[in-house]
Amino acid sequence: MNNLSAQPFGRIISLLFVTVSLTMFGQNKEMKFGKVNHDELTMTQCPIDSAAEAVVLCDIGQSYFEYSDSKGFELIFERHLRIKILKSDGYGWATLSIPLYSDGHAAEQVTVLKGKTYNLVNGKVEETKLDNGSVFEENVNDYWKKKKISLPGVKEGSVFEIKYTVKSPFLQRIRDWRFQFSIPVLWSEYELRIPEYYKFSRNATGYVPFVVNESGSAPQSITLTTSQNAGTKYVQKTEFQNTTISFIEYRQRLAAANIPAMKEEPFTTSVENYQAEIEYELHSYKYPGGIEHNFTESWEDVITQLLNDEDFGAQLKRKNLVKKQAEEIRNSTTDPIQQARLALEATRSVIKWDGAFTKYSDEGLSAALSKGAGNSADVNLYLVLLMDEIGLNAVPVILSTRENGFIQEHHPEINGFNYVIACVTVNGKDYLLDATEKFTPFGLISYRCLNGKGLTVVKPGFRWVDLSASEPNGDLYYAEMNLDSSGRMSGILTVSSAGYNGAMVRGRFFTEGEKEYSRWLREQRKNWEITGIEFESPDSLETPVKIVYTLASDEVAENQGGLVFFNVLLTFGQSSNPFKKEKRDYPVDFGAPIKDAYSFTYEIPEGYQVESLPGPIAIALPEKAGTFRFSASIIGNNKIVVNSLLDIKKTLFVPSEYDKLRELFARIVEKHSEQIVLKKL
Amino acid sequence: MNRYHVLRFLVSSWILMGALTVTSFAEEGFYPASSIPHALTIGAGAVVRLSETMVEISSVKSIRKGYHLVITILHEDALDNASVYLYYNEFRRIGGASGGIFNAEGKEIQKIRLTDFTDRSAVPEGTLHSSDRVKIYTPVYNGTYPVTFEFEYDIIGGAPAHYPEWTPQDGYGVAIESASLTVSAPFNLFPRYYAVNIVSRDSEKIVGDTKMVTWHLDNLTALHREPYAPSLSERTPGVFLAPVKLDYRGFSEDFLTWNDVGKWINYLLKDRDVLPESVKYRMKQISDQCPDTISQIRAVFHYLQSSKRYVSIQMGIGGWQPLDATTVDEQGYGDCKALVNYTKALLQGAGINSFYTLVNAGSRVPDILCDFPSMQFNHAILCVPLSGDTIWLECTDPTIPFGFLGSFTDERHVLIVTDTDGVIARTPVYSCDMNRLNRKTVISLSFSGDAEIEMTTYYSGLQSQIVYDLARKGIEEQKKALASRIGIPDITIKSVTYTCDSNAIPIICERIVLIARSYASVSGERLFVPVNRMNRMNALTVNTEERQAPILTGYPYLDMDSILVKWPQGFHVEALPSGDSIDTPFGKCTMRIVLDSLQWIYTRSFEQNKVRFNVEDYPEFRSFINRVAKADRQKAILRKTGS
Repeated sequence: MNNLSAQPFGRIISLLFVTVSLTMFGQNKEMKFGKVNHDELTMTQCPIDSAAEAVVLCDIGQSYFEYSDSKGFELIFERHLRIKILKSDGYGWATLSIPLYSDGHAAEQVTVLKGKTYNLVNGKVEETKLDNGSVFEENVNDYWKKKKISLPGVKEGSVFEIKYTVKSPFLQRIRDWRFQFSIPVLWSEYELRIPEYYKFSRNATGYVPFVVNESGSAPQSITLTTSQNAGTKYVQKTEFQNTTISFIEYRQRLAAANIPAMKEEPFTTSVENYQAEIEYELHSYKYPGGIEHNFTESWEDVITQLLNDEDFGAQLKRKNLVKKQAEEIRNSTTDPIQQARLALEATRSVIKWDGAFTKYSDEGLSAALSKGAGNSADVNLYLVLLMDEIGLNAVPVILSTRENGFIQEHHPEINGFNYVIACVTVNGKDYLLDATEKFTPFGLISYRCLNGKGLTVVKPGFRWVDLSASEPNGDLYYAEMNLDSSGRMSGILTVSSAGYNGAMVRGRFFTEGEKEYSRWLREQRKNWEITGIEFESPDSLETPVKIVYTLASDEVAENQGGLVFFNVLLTFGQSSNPFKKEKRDYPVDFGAPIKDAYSFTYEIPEGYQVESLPGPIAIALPEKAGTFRFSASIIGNNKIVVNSLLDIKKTLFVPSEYDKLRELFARIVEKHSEQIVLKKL
Repeated sequence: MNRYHVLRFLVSSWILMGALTVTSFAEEGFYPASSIPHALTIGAGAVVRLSETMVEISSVKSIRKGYHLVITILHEDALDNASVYLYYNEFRRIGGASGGIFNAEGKEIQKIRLTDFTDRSAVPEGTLHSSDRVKIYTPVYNGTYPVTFEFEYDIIGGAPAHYPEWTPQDGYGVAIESASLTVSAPFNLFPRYYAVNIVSRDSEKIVGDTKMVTWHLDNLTALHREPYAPSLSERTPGVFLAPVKLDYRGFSEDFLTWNDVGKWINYLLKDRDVLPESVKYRMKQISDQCPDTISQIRAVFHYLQSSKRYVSIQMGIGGWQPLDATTVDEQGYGDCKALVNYTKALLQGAGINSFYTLVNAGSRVPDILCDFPSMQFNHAILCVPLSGDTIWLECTDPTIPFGFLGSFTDERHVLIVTDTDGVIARTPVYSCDMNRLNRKTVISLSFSGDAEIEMTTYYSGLQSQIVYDLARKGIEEQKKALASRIGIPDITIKSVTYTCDSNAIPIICERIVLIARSYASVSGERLFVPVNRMNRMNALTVNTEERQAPILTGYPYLDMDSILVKWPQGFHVEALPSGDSIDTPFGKCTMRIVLDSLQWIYTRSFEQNKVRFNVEDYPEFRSFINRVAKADRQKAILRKTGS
C-alpha cells in the first residue's frame, strides 16, 4: 500500500481505444460454472485477511454488443461471481441484488440467471441449486427495479456462485465495474468488447494495481437479414437476403488480484473516491456511412453540450423570470459586491433547495419558482441568471461534490459532475456562491463542494476554479471565570463560530428555534449549571455568530489535600484525538482550513496561590501546514490567562503525512488535559 | 374544500347517526397559528390541530379507515412531521388522498393531491422480499413558519386479524390540540378495544344495529426525549382495537381470547412443519447419540445454527404465515417465523415437543397488554417445555448461546401456540446477579504519566451483549472499536482476546493489553492520576426544564471493578480521594482506595436494579447518579519525592 499511497488521486487511464493493436490476452483465470475448487471449499480463512467474514474468490464480468435483426445492437453484460462465506457474520453476502434500469419504454432484462451453493459435508461436495423460489423482483420506483436473490443452503464454509446476463437497450449505459468491496477480493476482472461504431472513455479510480491491463482489436462481422415477399398470388413465399457487414471490435481487459477490503475512516471525502472501480462513458458513435455523433471528447464539448441542454443552458436564457428582481437590486445599489450579495439573498428566498444534488434543472426554473423549491441546479442557475441580468459577470461552475468523487482534469467527461454553483467576478476577483445553504456567508460555498476544482461553463474561455473554502472553519472560546474558595467555578463563556461551524449554529438556531436549540446546548454541557444563553448576531451572516453562556459548576474543580486543581480549559478543550487509527490508508481531507482558539482568564480566590501551571508549547507541521501554540501565565497576583491556538492551513494530508498530523492532535489533547494547581496559603 | 372540512365518506355515517356536524371556519382563516394555545407551543416543533380517525367496519371482512389531519409546523426542523406514508399491499389499498398547505394566517397557498405522493417499494433494507408498497408525501416548503398542512386520506382493508391502533401523539416535540377516534360497526362485529393513558371514551351512539364509539383527546403538551425514561408509547394515550371474529379462507371463528388468537396462528401453521424423511431420520440419529433431552435439544439447535440462516421475507398473509419447513430445509434460510417453525419440526423429528411462540421483541419496549388478546407481536421464538425448566430458543442468530434470549425477548409476556390454542407465558428474567461485569485492571505508570494497562473483564448475562458482536470481529475492527469505547484519549492496543462461554447465562472474557500515553497528566512536579477511567458513570444534566417522564432504569446489573495502580520510585502520594459508599433505593455504589507502598488498589462496585420511580423522585435520582459520576472523575496526586 505504501508505494501507492504517494498518489493522492486515482489512477487515470484515458481513451484506450485510440490505438489499435493486436495483443495476446494473458494471465487468464478460469472459472467454470459448477466446478468449484476443493481448496475453495476447505479454506477456513481468507489468505489475505484473516478477519474477513467472507471473501470474493472470483468475480468476472464482461460487456459486449450483440446484434439481432429485430433489435439492432444490444448491450450485454455477463457476470460470474463466486464468494466464500467464512463466518456467519458474512451471511448477508449471500443475498444479492441486480439493479435494472427502465426508462418507461424500454428496460434492462435479466436473461440468464443461475446460482449454486457448495458445501463440504463429510468430505463430499453437496450442491444446492438456486431455484425461482429464491428470486424476487422489487419495483423500487419508476426507473429502477431490483432482482433480489438469496442463495440457498448457505452456511459457514459455503462457497456459492452466481452467473447472470443482463440485456440492455441502453447502449450508452455500460455497467461500471467495482473491483473492491468491504470484503477482500482475490480475483476480479472485467472485459469490454465494443464495435468500432462506439467510442467510450474509461475512468479508473482507486489504489489497486491491475495485474492485467490489455487492449486489442479483432475483426468481427454481423449478418443482417432482410426479407421480401417473393410469392405469387397463390403461393406465399418470403425470400431472405443476408448481408454481411464487417467491422472491428475493440477489446480491453482489466484484472486485479488480492484486493483488500475497503474500510471507513474519518475525514475522508468519500471512501468511494478511493475504491477501485472503472466507469465508462459513451463519448461518440458513428454508424457506417453516417456522421459522427459526439458526446464529450474535450472540455469544450462538455461545455457545448451543457449550454445546449434544455435543463442547463436553455434555463440561463429565461431572463424574463428575473427581470423584476434584477431591476429592484440594480435600483437599490450600484456596488457590484452588494448587488451579488442581494442576488444571493433573493435567490435563497424564492427557491428553497430540496436536498437533491444535480447539475441539471429538474423541471425548469419557471416550475421551481412556482413551487418555491428546486434542486441544486435550479437554485444556482437561477442565481447565475439573476446576477447576469443585473449586469454582473456571472457564470455557472460545475463540480463534483465530496461524496461524488474527484474530477480528473485530463479526462474530459460530463458524468463526473453532479453539482453546479455560481461564480461572480468583480474587479478580477472570483466569488463562488452557492444558494442551496441558507446560512453560509457570502463567498463561502457549501462544505460538500470543497472538492478539488470546478469548471466554468462559458464559451469561449472556460477555466478551472479552485474549490477551496474562503475562510477557515473554527470556534473561538473566550471565557472569564471566577473560582471561589468553596471550589465553585463561575463566569461567562463566549463561543464564537465562523465558517461552516457558524453556518451550522445559525442553521440550528433558525430551523429548531432559539428555545429548542438552547435546550439542546444546555444538555450538552453536563457538568455546568447554565443560567443564561444568549445568541449574538445569528442573522448577520458576515460576522461570526456568538453564543454567550452564563454558567457555574461545583464539579470542575477538585479539592484534594490542600490543593485545588482544575483542567486548564475546564471541560471545553480537545478531549480526544479524532485520528484513533495508528495507520491510515486514505488521505485526510478537512475541506477547509481549521482555526480553533481559546482565551481563558481565571480569577483565583483570596488565600490561594498558583502552585503550578501547564508549560507553554509551540509545534508546527512541516511546510507551515499547521501550528499549535499554547501558553498559561499569571497576571497580577490573582489572575491566570490561558491561550491556545490551533491553526491548520493545509486541507489535504496524504497518508505519509498522517503520523505527524495524528501526533499534533495527540499533543493538543495532552496539553488540554493538563491541570492548573492552586495551593491554600 | 376550503371552508368545510368533513371527511367525505364519513358524511354517510354521520347522517346515519343524525350527528352531522359542519365545521365552519368563518372568515378568520383555516386554523390560524395564532389560535394555538401557548402551552402547546412549549417544547413543540409541531402541533396537531386536528386529528380525526374514523374506523368503519361494515362486515367481518371489510374495514375502512379515514383520516383527517391538520398539523401546524412551528419550525423548519419539524417539517418532517408533515410527511405522510400510505402503505398498501394485497390486503389494503389507498382510497384517496388530498390536502393543502396554509400560511400562518390560514390562507391556502397550495393544494396537495395524490399525485404529489411518490410511489415506491416499501421493502426495508435487509429484507429479501415483501409485497408492501408505500406512497410518500414529503413536504416541500420554502416560506415562513408557522405553516399548516392538511391531509385527508382513506385506507380500505387490512390484513386479517389486524385492526388499527390509534396513537395520535407518536413523536417527540409534537403537541396535540384535538384528536379523536371514532369506531363504527354493526353491533355483533364491534371491535374489542383497549385504551391506555386515556380516561374514558366520550360518547357511544347506537342506531339500528350499528354502534359508534368516539374517544376524544385535547391539549396534550409536547414531550421531549429524556434519559432513564420509559418509551414514548408507554407514556402517550392510545386505543387498540381487535376484531371479534375472523373470516379468512375457510377460517371462520371468534377472535376473543388468547385461545382464539392461538387457533388463528395454528391455522397459519397448519401442515407447515412437514420435513423430508431424510431430515427426520437425521434428527432421530442426532437424538439417539445424545444421553439426555437437554443435550438432544442442544444438538438439534446447533444443527439449525450451523445449517440455516436468517433472511427477512415478509410474505404470506400479511407476513404472518411462515415458509414451510421443507422449503426452509431446501433453501437453507427463512425469517424468524420460518426458522422457529422449522426448528419445531426438527425437534419433532427427534421426538421432542416444542411450541411456536409469538413475542413483541425489542430491548426497551413495553410489555404486551395481557388482558387484550390480539396480534401485538413482531417476532417468533421457540419454547421447549421440560419437566424441570423450560428452554427458550432464539432461532435467527447463528451464534447466540443455546437457551439464551438476551434483552431482545427477555422478561415479557409471550403467546405460546399449542397444538390446539394459545397460552400466555412469561420469558425468563435475568437478575442483577446474572448480569455482571467483573474487571481487574493493572496500571503501571511511568515518570511521564504514560501507562501500561492490562485489563481482564468478565461480562455475563445481559452484559455479555455489550461485547457479543465485538468478540466476533477481526482484530483491526476490535482495536478501532475499543479505541472509542475505552475513554482514554491516546492509546495503542497491544493485544485483545475474547473467549466466550456459551451457556444459557453466557460469559465473555475480554483481555486487553494497552499503552496509554499521558494517562496521568503532568503539571510541574505532579502527576494527576484518574482513579477510575475504566467504568465511569455518565452525569445527568441539571439544566433541563422540568422533568416529564417517570424514571425507568434499564436491565439490572452489578459491576465490580478493581484497579491496581503502580508507580515508579521517586514519587509519593500527595493526595488520594477518600472512598464513598452510597446506598439509595435507586442503586448502590461503594468505592474504596487502599494505599500500599508504590501502589494503591481502588475498588468500585455499582449495583443497579431495574426500578421505576415517579417523576417527583427525579432530582434525588439525578443527584445519586451525579454523585457517582463525580466520584468516578476524581484524581489522585503523585508528587516527585524531594520537591
